[in-house]
Amino acid sequence: MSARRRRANLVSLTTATAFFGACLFGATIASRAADEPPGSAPPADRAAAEFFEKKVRPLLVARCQECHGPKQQKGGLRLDSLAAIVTGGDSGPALAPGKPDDSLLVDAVRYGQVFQMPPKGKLPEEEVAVLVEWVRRGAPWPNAEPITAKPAASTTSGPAITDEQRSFWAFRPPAEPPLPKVKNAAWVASPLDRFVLAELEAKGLSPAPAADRRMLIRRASFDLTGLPPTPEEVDAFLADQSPGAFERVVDRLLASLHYGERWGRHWLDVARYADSNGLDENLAYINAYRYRDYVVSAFNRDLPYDQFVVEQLAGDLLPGSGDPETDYQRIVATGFLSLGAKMLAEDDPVKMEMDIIDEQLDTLGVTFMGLTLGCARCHDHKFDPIPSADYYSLAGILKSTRTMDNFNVVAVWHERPLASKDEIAAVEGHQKLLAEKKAAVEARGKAAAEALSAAFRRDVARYLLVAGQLAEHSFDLQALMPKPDAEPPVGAIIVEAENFVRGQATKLFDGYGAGIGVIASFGPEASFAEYEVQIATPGVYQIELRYAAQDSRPVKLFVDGALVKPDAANQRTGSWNPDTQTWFVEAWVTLAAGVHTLRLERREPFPHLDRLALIPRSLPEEIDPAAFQLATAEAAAGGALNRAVLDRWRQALKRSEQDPKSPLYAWHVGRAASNQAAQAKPDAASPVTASVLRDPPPTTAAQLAERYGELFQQAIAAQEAATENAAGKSDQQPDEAAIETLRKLLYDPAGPCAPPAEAEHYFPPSDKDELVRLREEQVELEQSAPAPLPLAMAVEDREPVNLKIHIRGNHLTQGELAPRRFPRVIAGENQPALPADRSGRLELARWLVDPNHPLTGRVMVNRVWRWHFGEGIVRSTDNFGRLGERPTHPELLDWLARRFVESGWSLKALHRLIMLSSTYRMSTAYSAASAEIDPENRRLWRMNRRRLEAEAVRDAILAVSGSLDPALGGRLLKANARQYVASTTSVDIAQYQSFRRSLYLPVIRSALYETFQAFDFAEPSVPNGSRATTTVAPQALFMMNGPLVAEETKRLADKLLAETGIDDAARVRLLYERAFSRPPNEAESAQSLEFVARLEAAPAWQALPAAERRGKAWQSLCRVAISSSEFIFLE
Amino acid sequence: MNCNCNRFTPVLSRRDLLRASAAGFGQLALAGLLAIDAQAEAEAGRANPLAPRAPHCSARAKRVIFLFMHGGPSHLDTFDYKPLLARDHGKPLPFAKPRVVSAPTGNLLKSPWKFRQYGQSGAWVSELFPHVGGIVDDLCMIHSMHGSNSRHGGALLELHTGSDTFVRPSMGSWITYGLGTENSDLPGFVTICPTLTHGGVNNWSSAFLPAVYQGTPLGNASVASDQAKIPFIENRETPRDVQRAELDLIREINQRRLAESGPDAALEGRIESFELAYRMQSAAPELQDISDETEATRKLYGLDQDVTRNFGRQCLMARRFAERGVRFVQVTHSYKWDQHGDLRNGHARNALEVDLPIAGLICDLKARGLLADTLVLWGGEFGRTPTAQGDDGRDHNPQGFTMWLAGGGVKAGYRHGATDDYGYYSVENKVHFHDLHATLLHLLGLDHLKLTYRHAGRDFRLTDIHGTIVDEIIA
Repeated sequence: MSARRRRANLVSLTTATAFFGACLFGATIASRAADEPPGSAPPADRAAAEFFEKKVRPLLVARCQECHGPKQQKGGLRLDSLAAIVTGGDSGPALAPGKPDDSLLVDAVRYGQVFQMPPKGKLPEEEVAVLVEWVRRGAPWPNAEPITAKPAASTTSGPAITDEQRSFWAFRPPAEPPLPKVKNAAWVASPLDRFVLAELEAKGLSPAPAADRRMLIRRASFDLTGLPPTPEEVDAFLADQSPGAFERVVDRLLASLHYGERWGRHWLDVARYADSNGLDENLAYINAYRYRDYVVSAFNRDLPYDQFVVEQLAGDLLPGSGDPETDYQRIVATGFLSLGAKMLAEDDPVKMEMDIIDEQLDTLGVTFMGLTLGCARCHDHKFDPIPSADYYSLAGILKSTRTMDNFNVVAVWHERPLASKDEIAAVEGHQKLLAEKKAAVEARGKAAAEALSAAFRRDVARYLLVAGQLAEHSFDLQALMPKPDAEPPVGAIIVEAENFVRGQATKLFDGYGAGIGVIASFGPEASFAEYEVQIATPGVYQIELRYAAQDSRPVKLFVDGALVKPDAANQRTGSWNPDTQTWFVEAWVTLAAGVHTLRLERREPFPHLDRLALIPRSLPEEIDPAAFQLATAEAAAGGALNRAVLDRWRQALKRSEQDPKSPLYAWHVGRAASNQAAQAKPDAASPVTASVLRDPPPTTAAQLAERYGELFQQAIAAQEAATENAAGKSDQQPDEAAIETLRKLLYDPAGPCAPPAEAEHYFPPSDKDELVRLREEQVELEQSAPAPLPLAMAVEDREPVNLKIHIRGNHLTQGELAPRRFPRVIAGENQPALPADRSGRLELARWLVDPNHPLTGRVMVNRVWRWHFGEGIVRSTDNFGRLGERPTHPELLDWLARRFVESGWSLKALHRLIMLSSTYRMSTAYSAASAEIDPENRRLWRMNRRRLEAEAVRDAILAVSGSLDPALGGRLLKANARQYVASTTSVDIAQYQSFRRSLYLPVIRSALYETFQAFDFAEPSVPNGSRATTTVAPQALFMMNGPLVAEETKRLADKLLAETGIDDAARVRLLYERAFSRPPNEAESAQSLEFVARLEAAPAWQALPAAERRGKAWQSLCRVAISSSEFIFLE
Repeated sequence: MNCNCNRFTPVLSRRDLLRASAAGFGQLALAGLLAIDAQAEAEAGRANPLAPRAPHCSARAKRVIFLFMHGGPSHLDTFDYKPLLARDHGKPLPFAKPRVVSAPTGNLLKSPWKFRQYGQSGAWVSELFPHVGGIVDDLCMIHSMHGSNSRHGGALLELHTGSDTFVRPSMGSWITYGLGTENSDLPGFVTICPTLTHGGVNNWSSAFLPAVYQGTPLGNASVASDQAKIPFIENRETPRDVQRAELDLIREINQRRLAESGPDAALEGRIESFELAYRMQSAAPELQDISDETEATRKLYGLDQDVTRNFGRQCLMARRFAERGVRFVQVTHSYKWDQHGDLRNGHARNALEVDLPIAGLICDLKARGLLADTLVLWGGEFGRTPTAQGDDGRDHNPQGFTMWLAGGGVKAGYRHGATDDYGYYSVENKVHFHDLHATLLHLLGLDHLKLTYRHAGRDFRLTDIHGTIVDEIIA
């Protein structure tokens, strides 16, 4: 290193903007510095250099450069030169000199929102401070190299796609290959056989012999319907020796409605269909089944595949067909986009939305194109030419599509009504009426409650007076009833709780009520208990209740129909057991001589009540007897005080006793003074106290109440004036602070004058009646509501937007805009812009089904091939990219894709094309010679042996036993909308006891039906066009011990035994024909009969009647049949 | 410390795994034979995906027992002692809360429980876990755990599978895929009384790995542990000798078919799967029948007390599975630890249920010499906030919390990492779930960078693109 280079060559910049034009500027500084003599750097620069070398550089070396240095550049970032830091990594510039708060580096070491660095732990505060200070000083870095801006790869539109990438086989449109020449022309039944045979002949292989007729019809039946042929169908095929017999079988099967069920289910694997969102809060998708039924119907109708694709992506955007049902089905079809697995409880709504879009995009890519688009969310696809920008171009289309109504926790997915505008308007109109009616009920209730409050406020002086008197006369909450063994007060009337005359509370005489008897209630319905009490001496009675309660369970206490206390018995005693039973005071009432009714009522379970008591109390003379009158509406009109309000005033007074700042404190000062015949002294602590106790001081309780009354009336006037916004104020200005304090107390929504709980009981009859009437109208409206509209999980367009590239998939670091468009490797660089007024979904769908699209047709014919042969021509059916497998028969794939499009995208035509070939009709016969050359049967020298899928296993068992219910469509999941299907108590609500075909059973993500799980059902959260097949012990356990097999084999055995007029050998024959589509040979027959005979004599069953032993033995034989490989493997 | 050996070359292609004889949870006699001579296995054109497999490099542990506390136990009330939290009770948190939270919280809430130091290591443990406190010298605490998701569903999935966004194979599946199982009569990966919610099956599913690697649930969270059984393991109707007769006939018919059809790995595998199932039927009840356990052992696990019986039995089953060479055993104390309110009662009750059995399990493993190669992991899907929710609750906190390990190659009586002064954020030697996964695999002799499976166009790993081995905790 030269001396010149070693000189302080200091870059110190103060603005970020200066930097971005930067290399020239940096160079200028460098050249200036180069001209200066050594050691002549200004002192400030020397200090900066020293700061950097002593503090900053060591820190960067020690803390950062292991990951962001010469060895590794995590996130594309190096932190070992100023240029590298300023240029930054994938997330853009790491540093804005002079601006710590705008520098990503600083944000990261501060553990900000985007990055938290170093990842293993936050730096000590001193070190963070050093870096902040360094950036603040303009990031001086001695001897800095000039800064050249580098384009950050992932933030731009991505790399141009090379010609080599474009020429990958899957991105070229399917060719029209010539039909290959073959030697064994006699074997060729269909042009497609030439492609297969040519390959075989080239490798020195020869095709397996044709399958026999029984094998063939069994294969075709399972292939097209997922069910075994009936013995009659087999016989008919065997009998039909005319040409075209097999063709007629294929046509019959294609016309069967079971065809759609079978092939619809294949499609549902790809569409990752399920009836719940899975993942976290597992909510029922109760309308998902409409999509399933749509798919089944589409296959049965042979809906052209291009139309099928368009409808699933954009059926809602197609022009009206004129047929409402068709239009609804097209909306239902878009459920494809909606019914993926979703995390509905995600606290970050932006992440949730992007995750949902990602799921849609990945599914769409795999399903229609065999492309793993999801890989490009965080970076350019590592293997396929899908730049991140193309990912966000497609994501923009989905972002412009409404899939969700919100992204709250728990989020709500979008559903669309399947109804005409008029029907929707009718429902909405009715909902509006109902809402109005509910509002009217509420308004009326509120007005009445407010009127009640107003009455309480007007009467405030009297409430205060009586409350004060009660307090002074120890009319407090002191229970007078003694412990059980002591004498009750004189005149007390005691009633055992279980002796109610009317009611439906539960009486308990053991357990909780051992030895004493209590009432309780356990059901959710309203409970009540009514008592009749004979009063001989009229007067005021104190009502007490004795109970035990671990939780507070307030009951309503009525006396003679008037609500005396809305929350009686609301205390906790510590347990439900008798040993904690305690007496509590509930109310005082004035009772005339005669019979009175007490009623306890509660909607939910009762506390454990033991007894009720009424104890006579003598009323001090000065207390207004009206205080204890029952608060019926009539009594209220006659001046009865409301007990609840009175209680509240009493408590408010009690609370204010020790609180000089309370507006009620004057009461206590005044009473103390008058009791001691002393002068009440105004207390400066509260303007209210001063005002109440002003000269001449009140000397009696009544006078105090009167003083308060005056002030309260002024407070009411002030409130009314404020409410009416009256401009003119009264001529006299009272003490505003005092009035304001009292106004607040009066109008406090939780204060003493607020409407009490159950306020309606105290309403005047006019209000009560009106409320009853309004509620009846509401009920009528509710009952006359039009039927709820059918809803479909579906999407619709919303405000179109273009997304920016999310660098490393992080929505907090966004790069360049990625306008909505299609993947460039196929659609090219020069694409017409997508319309600004809509999402572009329809355009995307139409682009996919362009006859020259290189992937759509190929991917689908390959799927069909896979579902017929067990392996695709491209074995990785869901990945046609570079990491996928290459086609074993590329020309055949292209030829089929061309024929498929030519036929008008008809799947049924494709089935015929395939199934009528010699290739399809080969047997599975093994050939050691062929196996030697092609052990994996890639060249198709024989048919692959296939294990039945989970649904086919179950359906075949039901079909053989005769239990199968062939009904089509509908929903078997018994759940309400958005009901939790696997709740937090881990109870799975899905029920699988049904004889319907398996595809109709609920598919609950995260809690799949165990029979499905055992037999490799496709994981319903990801598209899967080629299920794995395992042969594992749980499958054997299912056969040996599963209840389904047990029940169905019993049914099958009963059926066989119920056949009259045949012998057991004929029964064995029946069993074989049903289970295997063939009769047994002699050895098999003899073996079966011997087995049955042996089991009938099994020692374990000796005690059973003969008929039962026979039934069980035959059931065992049936289980053996169902369990045998021949049943579960398709030849 | 990184595992640099390159010995791991997958013996089987994906196709082999899916297609070949895949004889289920384990393989029977034949499989044992095959396992002895892998070459012979290859020659026979068959493959047992569950045969024991050599690890990438020397393993410190052979199996894992994961004691999962579903709901999110509070580190601040159990193992992460924070004196400043007590001092500043009722004051606001002096720094910012995370951008994304599950619910608003108020000011700092001190722990209602006292802490004291235990053992030689002097680790602080609250009075909620006196028995675990007693064995603290066997534990390796990680106080600096953190995850990325503040909701149960996301957090459970991240803990179990490494992904809070997509369905991915669970760690038990990855481990069984990597190592196979040592007991051919039992599943390689079992989960006792797992929760069906918050991801449910996805927390023990093999996702895109072959189904042989999925966890086998015994019951679920709503089933008492003594009733938790392997699906379809019992047959109350068919007498054993009748079933044997059925199986003999099935085997005869299937073998005849195999003979007629020529070599076919799937047909062979199927024959064997029935034999295995039959033997599993014996092995499982034998495993579940604890009558051979001594009174002292029962007491050790708390089987003599109502409050500890259910979880104690789960722990005892875990030991019995571990003894029999099962690779990954999960024990779930189901969704009880979510105290947004009622922290005092809730956590007290929960801790009472698990404290004694957990300590019992560790002691028992140690006494039987199993702890040395059994890795025990304890923890929840996240911790809880030092700030109060209501006046007696704490919210979810994935930012910082404690998990601990014991046995299988970790430092005993060791404490790693730290949260801040109040226990909100992990700040020192942070350990993410991905790092935990990388470390678990490492202890089992598996290199998390090499344990891959190709699916949907790329190679997947348990740690996805993340994960650093926590060298410091390795003994």
